[in-house]
Amino acid sequence: MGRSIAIAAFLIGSSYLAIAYNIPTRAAEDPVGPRMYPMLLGGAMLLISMMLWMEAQRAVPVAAAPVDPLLQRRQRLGIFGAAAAAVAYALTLESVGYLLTTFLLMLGVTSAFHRGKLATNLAVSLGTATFLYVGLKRFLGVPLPSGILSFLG
Amino acid sequence: MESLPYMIDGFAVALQPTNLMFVFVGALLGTIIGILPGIGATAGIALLLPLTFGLEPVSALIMLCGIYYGSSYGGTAASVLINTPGDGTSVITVFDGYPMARNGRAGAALAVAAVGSFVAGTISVIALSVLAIPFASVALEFGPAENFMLMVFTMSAVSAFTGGSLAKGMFSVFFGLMIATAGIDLQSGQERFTFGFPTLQDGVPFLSIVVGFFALTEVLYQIKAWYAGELKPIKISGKLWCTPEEWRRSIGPITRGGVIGFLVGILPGAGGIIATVLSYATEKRLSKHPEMFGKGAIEGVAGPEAANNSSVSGNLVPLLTLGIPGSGVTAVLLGAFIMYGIQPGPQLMQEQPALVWGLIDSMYVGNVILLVLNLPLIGLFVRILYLPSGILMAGILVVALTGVYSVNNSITEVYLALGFAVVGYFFRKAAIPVAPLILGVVLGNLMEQAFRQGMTISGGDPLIFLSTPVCLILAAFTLFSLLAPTAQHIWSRRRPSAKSLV
Repeated sequence: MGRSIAIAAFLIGSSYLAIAYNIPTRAAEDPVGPRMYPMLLGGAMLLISMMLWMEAQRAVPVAAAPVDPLLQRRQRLGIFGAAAAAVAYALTLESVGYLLTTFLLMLGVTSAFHRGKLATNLAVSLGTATFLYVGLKRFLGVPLPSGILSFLG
Repeated sequence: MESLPYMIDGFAVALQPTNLMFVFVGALLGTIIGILPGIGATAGIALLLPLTFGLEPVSALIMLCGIYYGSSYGGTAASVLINTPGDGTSVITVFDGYPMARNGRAGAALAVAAVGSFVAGTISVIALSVLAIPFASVALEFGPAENFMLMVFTMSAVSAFTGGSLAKGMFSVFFGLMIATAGIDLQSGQERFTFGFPTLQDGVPFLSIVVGFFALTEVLYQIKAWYAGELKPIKISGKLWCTPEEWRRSIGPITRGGVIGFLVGILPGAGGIIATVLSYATEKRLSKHPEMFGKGAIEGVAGPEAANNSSVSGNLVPLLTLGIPGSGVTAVLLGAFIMYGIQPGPQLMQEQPALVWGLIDSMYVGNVILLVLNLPLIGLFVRILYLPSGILMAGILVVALTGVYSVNNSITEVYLALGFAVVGYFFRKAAIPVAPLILGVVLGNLMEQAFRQGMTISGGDPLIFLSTPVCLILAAFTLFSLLAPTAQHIWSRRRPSAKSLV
């Protein structure tokens, strides 16, 4: 893990430095201009990547705790599922509308992680979506998208 | 007592019915957030920040500060009852709080924490009131070079002390500084690191960063914990009060914890975690029965809890008087100030004393509210622990995404938050602290401006940053903070017995 962080830091630092180098400057600007400070940051990140690398080299290998591959697989699936649901929510929020997408996201997540309680999950999802929609739109004046339920106002 | 007239005026603001209501709401929400395992003050403030838009800045900030100190108490309940600290500052409470709960003394642990938090919180707010003006007067003498060095010192201290690894802390802070450079350069008007996205012209939205790194990352970790079948609460049993003997044993630790918490809280990077560790070590060292620590000693709960609450006011000293946050949560609070168009610092204390002193005085009121709220209602609050984690996760996810979207009605900001959640997940997996990153983000622009102003004044000579005694002292502090973890590491390897104090 330590070496991966060092490599990531090196890649971040070098890409940032390359972009910073191409920031245009004008002669009449202050002694620093818009480029020097980002270049210093990029250079510092490269030094940090070396520190991280050295730290990883010095690290004493610790015996990894036994992992349950089945549990790990289920955890990954759960995380990917929730992330996919969140992305789908963002993709459809404006076209389908806040109330419906929020209700569906809530229902999806509660159904996955609060299993066997459909009635409770339905009530909580509907209640939360409605409470947030009415509270934000009616009381705080936030223009949330109505989408396909625009007839509700 | 230079601050007395300001304090009296501040109470006129803090005691307004609207502001009293927001102190109450903040303390209540903070307690609930603190109780919820894993969330903590930083994620809680990030999560609720969008819902404060539309309020008067002073009311919103009073509420956010209420969440901060409320959560520092709320974290105790989760530590004591389910052996799971609400956040890092409650970790030490687990050592003796959970054994107390298993011995049937959960009520006593929670009561001593409530009273200890009240006493220590009040001590530290008095100290904050006394120190605010002297601190701000010193800060008014600072020029760009001193300001730049102060920010360098703060970042180095936070990087060095908020994680096990200096290199990881530095990586985090520089990653934050890099994020802060996105947008239009204020001096030249040049676009930098926007990649053609109009949303990034004003910089990377702060809320997307904090919600992504804290609230959404927390949801991902809660999912992991859900599959692993963790977070199983135990029921409260016995009386919800301490015996006279337990009170007698707690007075000393509470007083000492209050003083330690405030002093450590002022230091950048130290914050609540170090304050609680120091308080615990002090109590163990002073105890006639150190062998009881870790088995349910009430001193091990009273001292650290007092230190934890007291460090909150200590943390606010550099934020309010210098405009420099010393921890992740005060960095988020600074972000909130900036979002309201307010720049904390010595000028603010002169220009808007009603806001600053209203906020400080609201903490006196908040401490009383917390005590009144927590002693009779703790039995009710802990029922939150029995809220099904599936519903809790879904609620956090929906409130977080709604919050990010509702500020500017921008779906791009939601995508950014989701992206930062992924980065945050890997940060946590790799044990990279997030607090330095947030500090880099909120101080990045100020730091660049101070750097460029300093360089302009000196005609491009970087030695200006070492040209005054204050700069030199700050440079020495920076070096010390960077070298201290290494020295501490060598010291602890030579004296392994020192570890046994904690």
